[in-house]
Amino acid sequence: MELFDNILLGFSVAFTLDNLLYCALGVTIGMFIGVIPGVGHLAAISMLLPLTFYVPPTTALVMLAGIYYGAQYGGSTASILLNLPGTPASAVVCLDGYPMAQNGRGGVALLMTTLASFVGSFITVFVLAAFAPPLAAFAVSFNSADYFSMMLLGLVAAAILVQGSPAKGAAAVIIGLILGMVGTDVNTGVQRYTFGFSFLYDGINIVAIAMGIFGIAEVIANVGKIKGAQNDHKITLRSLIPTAQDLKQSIMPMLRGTGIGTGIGILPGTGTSIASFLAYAIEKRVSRDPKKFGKGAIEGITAPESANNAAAQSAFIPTLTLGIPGDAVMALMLGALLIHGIAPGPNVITDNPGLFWGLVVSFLIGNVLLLILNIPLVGVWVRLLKIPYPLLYPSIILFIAIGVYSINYSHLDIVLVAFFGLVGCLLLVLGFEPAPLLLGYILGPMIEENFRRTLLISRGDMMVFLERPVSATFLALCLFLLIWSIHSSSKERRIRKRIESSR
Amino acid sequence: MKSLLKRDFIAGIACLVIAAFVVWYGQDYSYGNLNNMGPGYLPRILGIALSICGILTILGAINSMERVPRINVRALVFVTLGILTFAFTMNRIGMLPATFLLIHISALSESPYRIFRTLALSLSLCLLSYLIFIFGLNMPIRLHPWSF
Amino acid sequence: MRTKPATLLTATMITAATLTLSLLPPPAQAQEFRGPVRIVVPFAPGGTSDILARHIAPRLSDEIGQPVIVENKAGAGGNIGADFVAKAAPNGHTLLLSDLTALLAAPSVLSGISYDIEKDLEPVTMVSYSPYVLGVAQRHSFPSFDELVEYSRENPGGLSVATSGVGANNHITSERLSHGLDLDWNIIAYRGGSDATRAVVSGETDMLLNGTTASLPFALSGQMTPLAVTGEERLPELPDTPTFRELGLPGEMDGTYQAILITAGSPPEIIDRLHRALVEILDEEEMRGRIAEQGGIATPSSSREEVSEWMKAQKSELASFIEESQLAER
Repeated sequence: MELFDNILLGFSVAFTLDNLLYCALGVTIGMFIGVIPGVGHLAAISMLLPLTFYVPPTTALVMLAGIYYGAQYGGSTASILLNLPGTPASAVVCLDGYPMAQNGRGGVALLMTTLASFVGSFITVFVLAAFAPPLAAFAVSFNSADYFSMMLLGLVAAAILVQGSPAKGAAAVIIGLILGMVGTDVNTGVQRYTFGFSFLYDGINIVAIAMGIFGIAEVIANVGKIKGAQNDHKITLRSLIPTAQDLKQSIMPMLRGTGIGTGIGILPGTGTSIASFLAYAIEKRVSRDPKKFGKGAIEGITAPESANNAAAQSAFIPTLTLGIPGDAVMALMLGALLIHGIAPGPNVITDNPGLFWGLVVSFLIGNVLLLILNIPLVGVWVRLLKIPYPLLYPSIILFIAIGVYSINYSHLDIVLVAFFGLVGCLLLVLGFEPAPLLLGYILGPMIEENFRRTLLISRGDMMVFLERPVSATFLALCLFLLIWSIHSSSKERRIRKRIESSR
Repeated sequence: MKSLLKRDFIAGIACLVIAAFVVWYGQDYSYGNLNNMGPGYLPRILGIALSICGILTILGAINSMERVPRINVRALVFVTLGILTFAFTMNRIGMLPATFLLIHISALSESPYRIFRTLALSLSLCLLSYLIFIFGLNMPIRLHPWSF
Repeated sequence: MRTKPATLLTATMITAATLTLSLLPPPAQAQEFRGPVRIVVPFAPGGTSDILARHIAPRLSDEIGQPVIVENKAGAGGNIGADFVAKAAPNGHTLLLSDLTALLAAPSVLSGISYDIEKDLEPVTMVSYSPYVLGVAQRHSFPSFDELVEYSRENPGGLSVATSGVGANNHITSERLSHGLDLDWNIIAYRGGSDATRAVVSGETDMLLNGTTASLPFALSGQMTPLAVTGEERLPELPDTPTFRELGLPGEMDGTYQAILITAGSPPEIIDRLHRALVEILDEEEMRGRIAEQGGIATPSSSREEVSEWMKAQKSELASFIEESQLAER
């Protein structure tokens, strides 16, 4: 059993005092960073990078990775309690987590997301251990056509996300796509809609959008209305513990979320946000009662939370097995290896088995630690809602401002937050939903870039989208989901008509 | 006149305005062709799609009675002003005085404005953000007018 | 509105008091280092420039007796960070460590660059040079660069080259190569170097010019075939891969030049002191070794004028090439 030997090797590496210590340190820092809204883990990890100069590479990576997946655990806390997405990926958790908190079920939501995070991560670590090389080989076979078709599936998911009028939902997605065009056009280098501002050349900072349209807009809506504490429900131990039904309802969503997250995480460049949005949309689609989504459905928080943690773990697959980082944080991890003279690339596993397997085992340890750490903290976080709102809201605004600043050290990003706060208010007033807009923003650039690149390479031949099996599968899925949605909505309308006529 | 105040009517108009702006501002970007799409291809398509959504929303407004909900203009003004002040002062006078300004300005969104409570809040938040961002995360943020 | 006028007044006074603070004169300029020195890296953490900066920072701090902080200000191909340093207070406390080619090409490729690299920034020293490797996707079996050229001539437009983005260093080098040899290559921009690498490994595009750090692991593991390298000499890791010079191609098939610049108008004494300190640091055996680990060669400059002249020459050469090839208009 080669895998068994490898895992043993991993345990022997991970269970040294140093590595255990740095793992614990990493996940703890990560968790707290995740809780503070807006502070990107990239900023935090790069601040802590110098710490890792003086320790062996495995220990360095164990800690940096701990910060990364630890932050995924904390990200949902502010989303649930304050409607503040700590990371863009946890914006989806706002949709049902915040209503749960308003109904006095914030503690349950926090415990369930912790559990969902753990399930998502833990399963994915085993997938990583067992199948990393073949999965990486599959991931790298994806080309632009496949990416395009997959992102198109994401756009269909955006349509499912919409709660109100379909036309306004579509409008929100399109506005998101329009915002996504701002910046340098990757294919030609032309700057679009930057109005001459150089800070817009790389696009609008996504955290500024998420913070503005979710967080600031919510603050403005609440100020003056809430005089005392946000939540006057009494916090009892009982109110924190999920019911058997909560658990039962969450098992399948967590597993589906994990599957989706793992699948998306292995593809370089897709990110955890798409995984959690897609997981949410699929839950809503397969649910017998899609109407409860957006009003505090437990599946609406557990599925995306499992998905984004699974994606965060599986993002290590292309990074470690191929040396192709999916995002800036992964690139930083490879940078940390470079500092220690290890050239990241396809040979890392064979050349440094101790590093790879030690890291994998540290993921297991780190996730168990996170689970143990998070459960008692739920009681602490829930008490945040006991702070009188007039004291809480200026603090929220301050943390958003500093957090967003810390991403690029650019004060103009804070200006963007103010602007998107105004936009968020307008959206609220006019009844456009922020979640589909955000998803449109995330998907837009990838859809456009990959579509144009595919046609550039194929010289305008549209058939490539159907000729490639992966791409064709995704397109078929899009069609299937669309037909299903139209079918079920027309069925719903028929039922509603029947009820009305029988009155 | 009443129909003009309907929520969906205004929402539809907003879509049309955005669509028109996107197409108008993007007319200089080259359109290209299918083999080699220019940067102007997508803006036009999105502009058209958004205006269709806008028209559908306006048509939908005929049957809807929903009015525009009221917003708290005072909060909107002071929260926005607070954030903007913070953005433009933090690099010049440092994070601590800027924090002070942000807290006091945003606290004006509620009446009565309680000076001592706000003062206490801003001081404790200065300490907290120092502990988290400077002491804990070691971020290179200017603290006060006399730091680097 | 039930705000009492008195409380509003207090609020206004607090605001006024704090604002006055902002109008105080900045601390007097000194010839010595007062407070921390920042090295701004205009790229994301983990890249070549970032790693160099993080290696140099603690050593520089020992030399000048002040903390040295590395700050990443990524965006617009390095131009956002460069713009920041160009407009920083000229007190000698803000440095820029960046790959120069992209910044020198930027005024010709991008619109709306609002600083002048020659006027608003002054060089302190060159840091390192690292060559490029031309890697070809696995599915091709060109035994040598000449075969690749021959295939390209027989199939105009049949081969595609991945780049890290429009205006990126390897984009310009790819364009130069295809223009110099008069080949019709389909040049495709990606979102950064690793995305471009992914594309070549997956076989979506056929080849890529990329820095040694990023290319070597793929070349050594056989996922890309190295056909040529830039620079004066062959790479020790790839003894069988010829240099472009050996193949008779012009010397401009260059690589990545990292340099440290400073806000123009900074006190000359401070710049000189930084220059001396940095050259000394880069000359140390340990630092040379660390730069070599990343596939680079430490290249401290003997004088600052040397860098200025090199930058000037490089900039006008790039500008004339870009104009000639109409790169910016496409």
